[in-house]
Amino acid sequence: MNLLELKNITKQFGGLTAINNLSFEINEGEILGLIGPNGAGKTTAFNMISGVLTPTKGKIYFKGEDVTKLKTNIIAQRGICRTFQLTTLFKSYSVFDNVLIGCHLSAKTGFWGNLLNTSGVRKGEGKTQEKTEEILKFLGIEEIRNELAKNLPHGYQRILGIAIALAAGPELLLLDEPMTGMNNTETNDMIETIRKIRAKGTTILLVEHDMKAVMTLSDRIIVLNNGVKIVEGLPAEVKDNNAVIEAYLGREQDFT
Amino acid sequence: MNRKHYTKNFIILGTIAFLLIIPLLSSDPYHLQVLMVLLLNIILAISLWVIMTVGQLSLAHAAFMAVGAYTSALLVMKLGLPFWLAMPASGIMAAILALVIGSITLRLKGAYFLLVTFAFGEIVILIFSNFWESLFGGVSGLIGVPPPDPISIPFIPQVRFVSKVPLYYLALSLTLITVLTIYRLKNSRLGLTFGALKEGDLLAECIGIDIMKYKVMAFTVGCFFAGIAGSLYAHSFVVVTPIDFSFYHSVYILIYVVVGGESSFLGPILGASVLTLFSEILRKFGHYESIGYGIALILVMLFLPSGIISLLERIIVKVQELFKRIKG
Amino acid sequence: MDMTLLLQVTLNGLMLGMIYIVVALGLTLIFSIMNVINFAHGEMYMLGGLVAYYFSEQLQIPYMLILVLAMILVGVFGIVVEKFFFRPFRGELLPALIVSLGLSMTIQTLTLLNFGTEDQSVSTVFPGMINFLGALFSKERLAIVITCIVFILSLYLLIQRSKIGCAIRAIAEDREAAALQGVNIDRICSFTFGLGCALAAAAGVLIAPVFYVNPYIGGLPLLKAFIIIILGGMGSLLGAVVGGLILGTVESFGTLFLSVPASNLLGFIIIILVLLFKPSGLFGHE
Ligand SMILES: Nc1ncnc2c1ncn2[C@@H]1O[C@H](COP(=O)(O)OP(=O)(O)OP(=O)(O)O)[C@@H](O)[C@H]1O
Ligand SMILES: [Mg+2]
Repeated sequence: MNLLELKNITKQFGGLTAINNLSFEINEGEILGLIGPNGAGKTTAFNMISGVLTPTKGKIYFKGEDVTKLKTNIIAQRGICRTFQLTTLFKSYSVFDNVLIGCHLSAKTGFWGNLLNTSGVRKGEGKTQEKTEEILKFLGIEEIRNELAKNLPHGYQRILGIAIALAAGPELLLLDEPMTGMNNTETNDMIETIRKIRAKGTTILLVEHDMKAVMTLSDRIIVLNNGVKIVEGLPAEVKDNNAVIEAYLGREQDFT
Repeated sequence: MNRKHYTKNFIILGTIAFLLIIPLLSSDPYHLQVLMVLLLNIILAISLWVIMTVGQLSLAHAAFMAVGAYTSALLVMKLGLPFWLAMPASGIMAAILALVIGSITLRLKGAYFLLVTFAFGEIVILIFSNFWESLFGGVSGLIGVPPPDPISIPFIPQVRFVSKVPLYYLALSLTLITVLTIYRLKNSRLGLTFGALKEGDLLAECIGIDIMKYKVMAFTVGCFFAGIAGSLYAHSFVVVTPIDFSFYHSVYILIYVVVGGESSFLGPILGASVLTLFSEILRKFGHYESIGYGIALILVMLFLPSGIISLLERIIVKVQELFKRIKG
Repeated sequence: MDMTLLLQVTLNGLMLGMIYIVVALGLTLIFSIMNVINFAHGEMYMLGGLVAYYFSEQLQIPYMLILVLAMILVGVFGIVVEKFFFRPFRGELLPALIVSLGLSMTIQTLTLLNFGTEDQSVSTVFPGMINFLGALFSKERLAIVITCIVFILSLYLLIQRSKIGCAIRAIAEDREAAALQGVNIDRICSFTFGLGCALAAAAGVLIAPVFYVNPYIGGLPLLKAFIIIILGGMGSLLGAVVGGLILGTVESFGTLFLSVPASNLLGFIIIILVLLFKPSGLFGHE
């Protein structure tokens, strides 16, 4: 069964059509790669799925339900979480607190309970702390738990971004260029991490310019150009597709 | 780490003990009056700080205080309600108003929200000074607000609010309650969520936080205590005039927070205390008061951008190092 | 309703609206490129009035010259203030706000100590009335309206046509991108701040003969300018002009048909209504 379905989505910014009649599906448990040259509309697609932007036309279904017009926080509640192309963190909080904040949806957030620090709230908070520990361990960042997010090196900041999104417990995780600015080792670690996340049953939509990473990770790939889906298929098919090569022509992309 | 906490707790407990015995040290009504103003300013500063933790700047805090002051005074004077009911009612009134206004305006950020609250504050003062004069008393406001009703507790002599001393203890208790409540809130999951909104509300939304809900919550809580402060003010100082709650008063409250240091819980408390005393000392110098105050603001912002609390923290660290060196 | 009265009220509203617009333009310009809500802006207006009083009553200098002199003096003062007090906080809303409040207090009180608190009047520059459509208008007020319109148009041309105006727009649009394109941010901020202050001073000079001068006169125009820029949209020059015209009209007719407090309230209610439907003001962008 498909987990997410985009149906004839169009997004216009004033006169500019960033996404044009885009339709695709994401199946449960897969890693779907979404690639395309700069300005193709990948981030815009993310913004619409996560509710940050509303499509001009078309519908988005998650687990069969129409989520097109839902607010971002409701969509997160339904089980879709995302990371950002430009690293976005709770900068002046520690790594631990960042992830703890990420656990918001499973935390007890009632006003009076928190004010009076009832036993229910304390138990709930104990659970979120455990969950935070688990996530830190899962991503191998438990050693830097007390560092402030803003002081982290870039690579760790990217991982922390994913940690925050995972804390919200998504069924579908949208990753916007998780490998940007990473060196080879870091990229390989990230590939492993993404595999691990999928192995836990989380479906992933991956936007990434690092072709090697996308080709190795993705079960299927969709190629966007100028807001239009030009190709959809298995990594091997996409790699040799003429339209794709055309779209990327003149760009320094590594297809090997 | 532990030692720092130790020093901090010591300072806090010492301060509370000192505040408790002040009426024994000096019965000069002027001193108590100044301290009551100081305590009121602490309530106002720390409650504005709650609003600022979600990243919003309000210039309507004095207006919400006005709502509390008028509500409480009118409930007692016109309806004959006891102060002990009117006081919580004034907080609730301010909170309800904040809930309504906040739900509409908290979509706005930064300078926009600041200016809207400014406009709202002006409306409130305009209404109190020019409309329904038979109720609000116009520009001269409400005169002869009675002191709190006496409390009788079995086995203890009745407490009557005839002198400054019991009023001072009332102010001190309300201040402690406010500070403790807000401290609890800050250290709870809600405090964490509030701070997250300030840091990045898009990210917060993407992990499922309903940002409007928590912004409105923080705003309502902050304004509730501003309302309580208004009630305390009305019944302690007998007269309530609209000009007491002008936009400049709101600005002062904001200044307490920022000069004290908005990034820490103790900052607003420290700021309110230091600046209240500072302007009291300067008062002797007539017009030079404003100059002194103005220059102090500029200097603090230029040289201590995280507020005077950062200076205090630095001093504590220095003192501890000194102790270590003496021991070692 | 008496036609003459209506016309006169309209002119009055127009005059006040124009003065407020000139004050608001400086304020909104400074906000748009520096993210500073300058509470000391009203003091610049006050200083303008003061310069007018001093030069015209004590030194008897022609008023046109006074206008220019006041703009230069206050403009330079603004540049100095920007360099020492605002530059360290560029882009940070809160500290700059507090500093501007500190400045406002200091400037106001320093003036007060040297000038006293008494109202001083400045003698009329264009005495007499003019007959227009059967209604009598004071020449003074017409002159003020016309001068303000000249200022507004010149500012428009400066911003739209000149090189420096282009730089100002670039910074307002996107500070970092402007810096990358080689715009000297410090210089432009300094210029804009000076320009904003000079405009406020000009308003103070222009209105001085109609009202009076004392150290406290800066408060009211500042308040009105705030209302105008909320209404029109912060940082928008067109918004400031439209907002000022709306406010001037509403207030003068409100005063005529209702009362002063009611007309003030009306101004605020309009703001709240506008913000409900367009949170960034009439011409602000989100
Ligand atoms: N908020 C917006 N307002 C106006 N135009 C926008 C907005 N967001 C994106 N665009 C435009 O939409 C187009 C698609 O942008 P998008 O960010 O989705 O591309 P992308 O595929 O993510 O590119 P990149 O690989 O560089 O991240 C671009 O032309 C961009 O300028
Ligand atoms: Mg992108």
